[in-house]
Amino acid sequence: MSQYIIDSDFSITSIGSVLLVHLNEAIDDDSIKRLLDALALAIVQSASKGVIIDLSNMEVIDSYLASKLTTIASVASLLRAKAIISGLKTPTVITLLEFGIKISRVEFALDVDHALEKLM
Amino acid sequence: MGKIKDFDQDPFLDQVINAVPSGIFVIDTDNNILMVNKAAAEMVGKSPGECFDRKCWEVFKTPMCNTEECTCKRAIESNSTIRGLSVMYRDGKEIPIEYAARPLKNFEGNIIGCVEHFIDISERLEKERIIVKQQEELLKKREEDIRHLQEEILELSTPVIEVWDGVLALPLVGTLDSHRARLATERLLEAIERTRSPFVIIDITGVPTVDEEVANHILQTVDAARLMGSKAILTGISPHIARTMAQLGVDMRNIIVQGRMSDALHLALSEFVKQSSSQDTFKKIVD
Repeated sequence: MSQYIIDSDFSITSIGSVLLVHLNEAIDDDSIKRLLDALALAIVQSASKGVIIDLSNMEVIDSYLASKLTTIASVASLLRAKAIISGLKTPTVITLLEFGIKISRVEFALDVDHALEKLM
Repeated sequence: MGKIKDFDQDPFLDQVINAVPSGIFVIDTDNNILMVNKAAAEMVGKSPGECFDRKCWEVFKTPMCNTEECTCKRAIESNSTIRGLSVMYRDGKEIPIEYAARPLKNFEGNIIGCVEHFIDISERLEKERIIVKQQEELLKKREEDIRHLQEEILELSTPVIEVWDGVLALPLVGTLDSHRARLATERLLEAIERTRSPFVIIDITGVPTVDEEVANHILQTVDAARLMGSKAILTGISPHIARTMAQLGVDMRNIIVQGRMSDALHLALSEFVKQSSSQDTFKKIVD
């Protein structure tokens, strides 16, 4: 396991042919844009077939982050990598449903283990 | 008993009137007491002898006495019976009373005064108060019971069952309103988080009818499970509900539907087998 990119607000780790993305709880909109650029580059460079975005430390997902997660999934699939979001908590999901925030075209997993299983 | 002009005195009637337990007094048109019985005098702590030849409002004190509202005055003026509830002041205390007054006529039919009769109703009021209080308590208890039962039903109606390692079942029974749907979703998500189950079976065999709202609740529960990373399988759709959902145009494209719960369990287990084909144990179980 080797760290690929470490930023103040996120990290991208390479595990085999999979990239694992961790987000800081207080990630801002600019950092999300930087993450998008860095991740696209990393997928191409490492020829990864999957991206796992671990959100287990996120309390709230706003509509901006939700739409960017969809964008990440689209970008990843164009680069022949499958994006999986893992680790959403019950309160987070309830809030998403209550505010009608949709995260479409992305697969979800219970945790990182489950996501890796799905990618293997 | 005092003397009443124009009438003969009858000792027998005197005895009867004094024996009546409620208060009776008679006044002339100028409010002078002509007669008062024992019970009436006792009510104000006096003997009948102390009450004669005095104004009635000096002896009996109520909020209406010596005003335009005077019961006898109203009875005389309207030539009719006047009834009502009031209080009588005695030693600084208020005694609740019920009264009735009627004009007194001589043999020619002219009104010469008024007869008023009153009883102490404090005991009756106290009893009524107790009854009202008991009724309120009973009502409160019943409401509490009903609330308790409703909570119980809510609790009972949304169980999340672990039917297999990694497979949860949510059998929905009865009508799904927003509150129940929300509760069921929350329970399901908590169970997914706790058990890390990749599969949930949502069974609606026990849901009698489906309208647009209920259909949306079901779809939302399925979506919630998806966001958690768990795959939802919908089972137990009756022909009637299938028709309604088709007519409503509910989008079921992203939903896995199976006939019975056992079919869904088969599907989940075969997925497990696919994922861990090296483990022969699962194969044995499914076969």
